[in-house]
Amino acid sequence: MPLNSEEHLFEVANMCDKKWGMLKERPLAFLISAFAGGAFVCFGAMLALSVSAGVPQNLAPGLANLLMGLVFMFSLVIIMFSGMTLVTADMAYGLVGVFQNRISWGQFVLGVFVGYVGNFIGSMTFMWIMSKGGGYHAFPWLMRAHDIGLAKTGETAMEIFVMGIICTWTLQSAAILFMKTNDDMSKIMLTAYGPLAFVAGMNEHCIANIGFLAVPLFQQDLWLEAVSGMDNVTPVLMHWGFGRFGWAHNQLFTVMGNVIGGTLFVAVVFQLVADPLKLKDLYRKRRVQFVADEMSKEVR
Amino acid sequence: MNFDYSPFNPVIWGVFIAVWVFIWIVGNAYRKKYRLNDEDRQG
Repeated sequence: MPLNSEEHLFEVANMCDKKWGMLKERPLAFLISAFAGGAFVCFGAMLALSVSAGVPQNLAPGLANLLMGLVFMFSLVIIMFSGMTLVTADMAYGLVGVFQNRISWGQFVLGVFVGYVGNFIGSMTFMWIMSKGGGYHAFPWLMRAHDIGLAKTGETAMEIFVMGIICTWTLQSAAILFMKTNDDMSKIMLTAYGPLAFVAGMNEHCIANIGFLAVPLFQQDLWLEAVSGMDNVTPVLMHWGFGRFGWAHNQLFTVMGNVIGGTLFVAVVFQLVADPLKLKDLYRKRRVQFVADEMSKEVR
Repeated sequence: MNFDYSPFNPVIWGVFIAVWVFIWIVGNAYRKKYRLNDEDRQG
């Protein structure tokens, strides 16, 4: 049986407690869990690149997106089941925790910052190692990685920003629903929906993009060499900075969009839909249970 | 001036700040009104 709205939001706040408790008591462990979470996202990014190379556009324009989404969707499942950290999920859990007085605004900002740093290192490390892999040096994958990079960094700031909002709106809806049920199959189905929706929906996710857009930059020399003799290809180079075709251009507006989608449209909405008086009852029951447990310990 | 590829796009920064001011106001009002978890925090 799925939990009702109030029990569900109480569980989300418990998850926030667990995460921020780890940050406070074992900050290095939190950072390592964020490192693993960033790498797990890039497991999906690698698979998405792998299956979408060479898919002809004239067959069906959305087919490559569907294939990418189908292989990407288990990234969030392995993050949630292993208890690792994904900063965009923590934004939603953390804000619910702020509303329920589990953490302060300052703790929320600190947790999101440390989570982002860990995810960044994990995403970059995994994709740097992957970019050295021989299979991805073959022409179709070099071209595909570069095409994805150009498409994402070539968008305007507003295009990236709105796709970032939609991304975490869908993804965090799934991440927050992970706590709604108690059986594993339902959890897997609900969690897998998030990455499927945001990848097949061509949205922008900051942690996925950190690595996804770094790959064509790591491989740019190989790509240039591969297309240098081709008359029909005009090389357009990517770069790490701001401006068109820049890694930082995409990252900045993706982060800004992601920070809004999962908080305003997921955490705030779920929190305001739950009945606060029923939530208060759950806190009262927990308090009574805690006092009863303490008394029984003393009697023993 | 064209801000399509500038990091200082005023519309996006304006929306971003406005949204977070809104969340901060709503969040603080909610915390103050319902005081969830208050007894536990006080020990």
